[in-house]
Amino acid sequence: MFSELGNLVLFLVLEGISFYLIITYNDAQSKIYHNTVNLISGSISGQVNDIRNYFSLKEQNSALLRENAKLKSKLFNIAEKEGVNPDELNSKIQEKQVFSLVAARVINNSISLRNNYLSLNKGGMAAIKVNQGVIGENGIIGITKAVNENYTTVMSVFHSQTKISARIKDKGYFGSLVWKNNGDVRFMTLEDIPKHVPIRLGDQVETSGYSSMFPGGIRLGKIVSKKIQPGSSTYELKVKLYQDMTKIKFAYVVINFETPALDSLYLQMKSL
Amino acid sequence: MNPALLNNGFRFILLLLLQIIVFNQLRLGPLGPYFLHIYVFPLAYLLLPFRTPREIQFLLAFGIGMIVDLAMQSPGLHAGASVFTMAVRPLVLRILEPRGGYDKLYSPTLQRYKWPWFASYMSILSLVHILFYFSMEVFTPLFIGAILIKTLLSWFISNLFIYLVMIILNPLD
Repeated sequence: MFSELGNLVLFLVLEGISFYLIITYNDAQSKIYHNTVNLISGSISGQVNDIRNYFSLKEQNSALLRENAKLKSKLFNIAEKEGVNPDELNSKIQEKQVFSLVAARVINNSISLRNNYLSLNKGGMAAIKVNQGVIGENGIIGITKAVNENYTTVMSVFHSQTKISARIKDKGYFGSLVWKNNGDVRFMTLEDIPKHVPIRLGDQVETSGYSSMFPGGIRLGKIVSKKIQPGSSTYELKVKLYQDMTKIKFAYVVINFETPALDSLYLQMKSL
Repeated sequence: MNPALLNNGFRFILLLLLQIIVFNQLRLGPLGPYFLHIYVFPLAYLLLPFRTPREIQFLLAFGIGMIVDLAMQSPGLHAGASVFTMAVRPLVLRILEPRGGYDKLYSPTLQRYKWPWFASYMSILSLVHILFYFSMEVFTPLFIGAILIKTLLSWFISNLFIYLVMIILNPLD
């Protein structure tokens, strides 16, 4: 026999379990929940972030300058190789544009949970939709999961369901990059690479370009250890990420203009 | 064996089977699946004797709700609604309390307390269950209209079947 208080606690616990089940295993409810949390936490942490940002303006500025310089040098190098001037190259690229990036500020970021999420301060008004890739300065950050007018919730790469198609640079073998739930946000694991492939520690891992979410060739990290589970025919490769997710401030949402066409193809295939 | 235990155990199983095998499968018209749900299983936990310990009441309500949820693939919806309805039950009992109060050994059945009392008891609590259920199913106050329409229609038809089942079984406790 419980006391009155005990019964109240039992009631709250049972309702808590029900609510958790509702927002975890029911599709529509989970979407609404995430959107709502997004809306509320987005506007709150947006305010907090505005203030906090003010104090790190200098640092952010120099980071952006660095990235800008890196991109410019790439552009000049390509221009040099192609033997044209950079402006012409620009128009050449614009003719057949596949990707477009939307820059956004990260206003909320979790890294300590089993399934982590981030919030961005841009949403549907900036043409962001769900299931688009999000990249940072030195790698990928996640995939958009819920979007409203002004904010976006991103499923971080540090999420138990993350699976990113990645390949080993210059060798071309590709597998899936996943996050084992060991709480360590410096490493991810590359799976599904067959064991006959010669792997050296220090090999670089980059996105494969096989998914429409991320362009190919984004540097992700390098291999720091390899092992083969007994009985398995594939490697389990530990990858040290270049990106430090603990202090990202900016992110780019990748908009792929070919996605609608690809999706309609998939639908056609499904209906066969 | 305690007859109350036997009675209620039998009722839980029977109503679960009725709910899952019969009422969950009924399609009442093309829009039936959206607006006309028939829920008779709340009867099982609402007929528990007055003397049932509170924590057992909560756990049984949660359990039967969860089983229906698993059958309907809506984890948590009915479990939450059942537990909530169970929490409201003492309040409704207090409001409806007849002169002389309740006999602790009885259950709130039709035979014990007759139509006007039983109908008010059952209709209020089934309304609570169904309203909670559809609030959680729609899950946003933006569609309050949809919640209310679904609740009212389903509440009406569920009550018809609840009384039908009650008349057929007509248990004393």
